[in-house]
Amino acid sequence: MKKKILYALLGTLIVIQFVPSGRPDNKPVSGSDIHEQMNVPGDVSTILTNACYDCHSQKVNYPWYASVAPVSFLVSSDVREGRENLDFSLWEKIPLKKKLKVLTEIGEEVEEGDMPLPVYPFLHPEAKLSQEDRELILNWTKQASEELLD
Amino acid sequence: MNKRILTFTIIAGLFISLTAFVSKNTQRPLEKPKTVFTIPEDVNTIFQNKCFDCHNVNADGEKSKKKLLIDKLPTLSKAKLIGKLDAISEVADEKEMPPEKFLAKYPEYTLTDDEAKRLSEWATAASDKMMK
Repeated sequence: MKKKILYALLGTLIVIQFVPSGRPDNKPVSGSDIHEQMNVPGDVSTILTNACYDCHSQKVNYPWYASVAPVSFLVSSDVREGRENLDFSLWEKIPLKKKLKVLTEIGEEVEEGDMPLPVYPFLHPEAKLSQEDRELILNWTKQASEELLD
Repeated sequence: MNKRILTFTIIAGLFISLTAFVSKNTQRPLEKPKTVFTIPEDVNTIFQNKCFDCHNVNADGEKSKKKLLIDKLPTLSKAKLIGKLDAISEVADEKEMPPEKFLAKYPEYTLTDDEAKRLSEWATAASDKMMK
């Protein structure tokens, strides 16, 4: 009986590998990344790259297990949803008002610990943010907003 | 003697009006352009009826308060206020609020099409005005 369950599980695992996850490709547009559009200080840039860019950019680094179902489904949907809400690589295309909205939300969510999603730092320890990191991001969002309004 | 008083009065008068003129002109640029943020009556009614119960400083929920505090809007920085107004118009357009789960329990809070449209138009216009 136990063997049967094991076989069934293994079978399912193999079968779902053939279900396409619809993994979103990276399609960077030259010159439109936030780093090319605004002043992003080095320490802020490091945090953005380490903790945000794997879902919120066109520079996603997919690890090997992101190709294995069912993890691939989760990763694909996170990246798709992440980019929909904010794509740092397509910063130039975001209307000014939306930029101000997004910056406010970045500050709020990072300050409150809602972002990065708690599951992410498990496999990406470099994305674990300290209290100082969070404050750094919050202050940068305020500065960047003022800069945009000038 | 009378002539002296007359001359004195004229000079004094000129001097006073001159200082008034100068001070008026120097004070003007120093006056901070007051951008008083006010919510029109009809928009405020929609807020009060449909949004305020969760989005005020004394509300219970944490998430709703993090996202928007209607009574704190006038105290926000210009950048934040524009950001919030943009979020309001987006949420109204998409009818993302009040949350579906909440409406299942309290259907009387549902935003009508007219209310959603009014909120969105107001928020867009108000933020546009602030960016000028």
